[in-house]
Amino acid sequence: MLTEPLQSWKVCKELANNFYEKQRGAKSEGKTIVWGGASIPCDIIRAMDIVPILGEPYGALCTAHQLSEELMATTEEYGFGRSFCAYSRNFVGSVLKNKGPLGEMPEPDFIMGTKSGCNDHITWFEILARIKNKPYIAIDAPMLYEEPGPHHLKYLEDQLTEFLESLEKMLGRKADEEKFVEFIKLSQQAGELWTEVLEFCQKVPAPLNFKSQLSLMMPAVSLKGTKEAVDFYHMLLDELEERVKKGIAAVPEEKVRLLWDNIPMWYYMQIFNYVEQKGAVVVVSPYVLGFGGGNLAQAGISPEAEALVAQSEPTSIQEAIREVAKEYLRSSLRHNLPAKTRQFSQIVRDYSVDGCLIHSNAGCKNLSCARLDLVRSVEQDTGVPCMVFQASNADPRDFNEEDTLAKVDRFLDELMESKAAS
Amino acid sequence: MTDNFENLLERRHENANRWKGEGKKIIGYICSYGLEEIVYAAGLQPVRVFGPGGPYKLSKEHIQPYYCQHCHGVVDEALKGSYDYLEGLIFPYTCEHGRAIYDSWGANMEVGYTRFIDMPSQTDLPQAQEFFVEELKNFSGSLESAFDARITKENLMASIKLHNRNRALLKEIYGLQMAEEPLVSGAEVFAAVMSSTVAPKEEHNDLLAGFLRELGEREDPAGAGPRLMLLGTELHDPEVVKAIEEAGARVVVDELCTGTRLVWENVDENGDPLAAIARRYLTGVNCPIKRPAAGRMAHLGNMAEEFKVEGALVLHPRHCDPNEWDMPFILETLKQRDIPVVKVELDEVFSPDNIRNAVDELKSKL
Ligand code: SF4
Ligand code: SF4
Repeated sequence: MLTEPLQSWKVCKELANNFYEKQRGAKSEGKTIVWGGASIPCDIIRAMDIVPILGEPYGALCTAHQLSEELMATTEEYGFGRSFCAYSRNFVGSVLKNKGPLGEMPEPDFIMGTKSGCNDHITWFEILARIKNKPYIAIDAPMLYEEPGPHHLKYLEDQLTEFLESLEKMLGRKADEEKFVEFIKLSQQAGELWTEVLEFCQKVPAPLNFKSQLSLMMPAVSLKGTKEAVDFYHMLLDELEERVKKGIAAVPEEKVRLLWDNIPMWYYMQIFNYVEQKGAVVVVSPYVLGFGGGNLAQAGISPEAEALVAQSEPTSIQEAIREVAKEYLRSSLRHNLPAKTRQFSQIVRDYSVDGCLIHSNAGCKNLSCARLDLVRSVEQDTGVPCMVFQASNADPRDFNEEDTLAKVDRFLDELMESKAAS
Repeated sequence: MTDNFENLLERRHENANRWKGEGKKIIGYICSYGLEEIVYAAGLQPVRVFGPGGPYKLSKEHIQPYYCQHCHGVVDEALKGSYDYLEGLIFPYTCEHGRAIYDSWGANMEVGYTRFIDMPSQTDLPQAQEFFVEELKNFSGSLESAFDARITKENLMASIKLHNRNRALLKEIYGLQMAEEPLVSGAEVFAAVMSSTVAPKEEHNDLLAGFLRELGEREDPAGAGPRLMLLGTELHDPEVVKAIEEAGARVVVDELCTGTRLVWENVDENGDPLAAIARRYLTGVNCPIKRPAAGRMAHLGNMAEEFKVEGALVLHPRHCDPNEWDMPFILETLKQRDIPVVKVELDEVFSPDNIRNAVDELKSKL
């Protein structure tokens, strides 16, 4: 199969470098800095010209730089255990030790937590605010296992409105309506474009593998609300269209197509090369799709509820805040098991998946919740086999390389055999 | 008298099956936010769900090993069929482990009614109360339509009073442990509290009143040794508290999901009942999963002082994230009061040896 490196790659790398550069230079430029989880409302924050430092990407970076064990030892010495969110244990260790992959972390002016998907999102940052003795702001998003109603929307909208007011007070200036609305629109666009990017991988052969997707999602996660993110995805989409036209594949050989569930093991990314050498390629993951907003049809909610949370174009600050609130609700709709199961099965079908690698992630109880039951239903619904193995996104101590690779070998052998037979 | 409480715990399934035979509809709830007042007002019998202690086999087919042992316990017990008498299961949101129970239950059990109640995690937000009241209204409405029930202000208020009385009686029993030489043991208090989660409150209130009378007649101290506080989250087995006391300590108070957390605050009997219930559950339970933790730390410190605590034992259920997060601050709170702490991890099978060693270690620090 024809394959060649992605041209947009360089631009994405530059964006990432600039992002970290901006973080490093923020203090000397007199910018306000906030620490928070990836689910804090970055579009509102950026619209107010505040620089966010996000916990999960930072945790991933610590892990990819193989710093986890050292940082987590510091976390544990402080008295914390090793069961909760593995990203947070890296981040907390980095703060306590004043050491990280980017050197010293810029001091925050305030810290915030937003519960969205899991409680660790707020506990983590409340605790850091306590350790650092900084002002703390929390936003509580509903978990939404049941149908969304007007009170869910109001709950978030009221909190976000108050959040904006407190930022205005803190900064001593009002939000500029035009700029604010523009940021939210850009944030919506980036999400939509990211979904379009991933949808290209429904094509056989897939023009991108999961490892590339993970790098290319950086603008959707870390640059939400910026024009750079939108421009980048337009460029990437053009390139993908070309690639698909010319039949350029992500890897030279795509014998079987895989779905990867959950966050990868950032300390062991070679697993993707390992499967590719055997002719298998991970083409999709609900995890990366999650940063694009997802499909409302799979949520199993009534038309009224769908209308309540459906995206529209804002024209005022109030409407823009409502759109941010709706986005939280839409992403919460993936939390309950039946919705999650429908989503998985649909992905398996849409992306012509032959098998699923399910990372049962001890480092993230949110994304691993009820996975064993989910796998059974997905296998039943789609007839596609799943392989479950246990590890952690950011704690290498939870990973057994030998056992996992042996399991992967067996799984892929069986998949190849049954594919060849069919 | 404490036999009564222990019997209620031991025979909880047998009793529930009997009530079911008598036409009662029974609803299970996960964790300490059972909203029993509302369930009861709908004419239903609420019971807390928990496992009997491991080893757990069946749950491992459904729940990964890094979810807490409480989560395994409940799912294992349900898969064994012990909870087949339940007409439904409710889950006022606490943590991701509770979610695993709820999800797995929905996937594997034949439950007619399930309801996830969206409890805020950040309890001090000005918007949280208003939102939670709406959730409670929707929950009440869903119970009414699922069980053809009517929840009126009157029966809600009567239910609040009944549950308040239960909590007040239990708190009175706790209060007796403030004495220099308590006449009631920690194991007795624990069995009394825990059994309240699996008994009709009318019956339980009668038992508590009788127990209080009996305690009034006691003369001999119930135990000896240093005055301990138990910290942690879920604990179900009275044997654990017994083992601690048998190792030569007195458990005078606790900060557990199945202890003071259940009984410390009552529901306000004035004003709108649902608003009062919302307020009590939001701010009166002090579970480590709910934030901010500052209130809980202050409460814990106050209790340690009131009960003249000399040492603290953290009973940490393996993989309980909420408890892990707060550990450094618990240690700090107690250190400020010169109270030594020992942490012991509770696995699915509890080890009396571990408990004994932990008590010995704690004693050596006093
Ligand atoms: S546990 Fe998972 S969802 Fe929660 S903060 Fe950590 S990585 Fe995010
Ligand atoms: S609070 Fe702890 S013991 Fe309770 S369900 Fe959550 S993890 Fe388990």
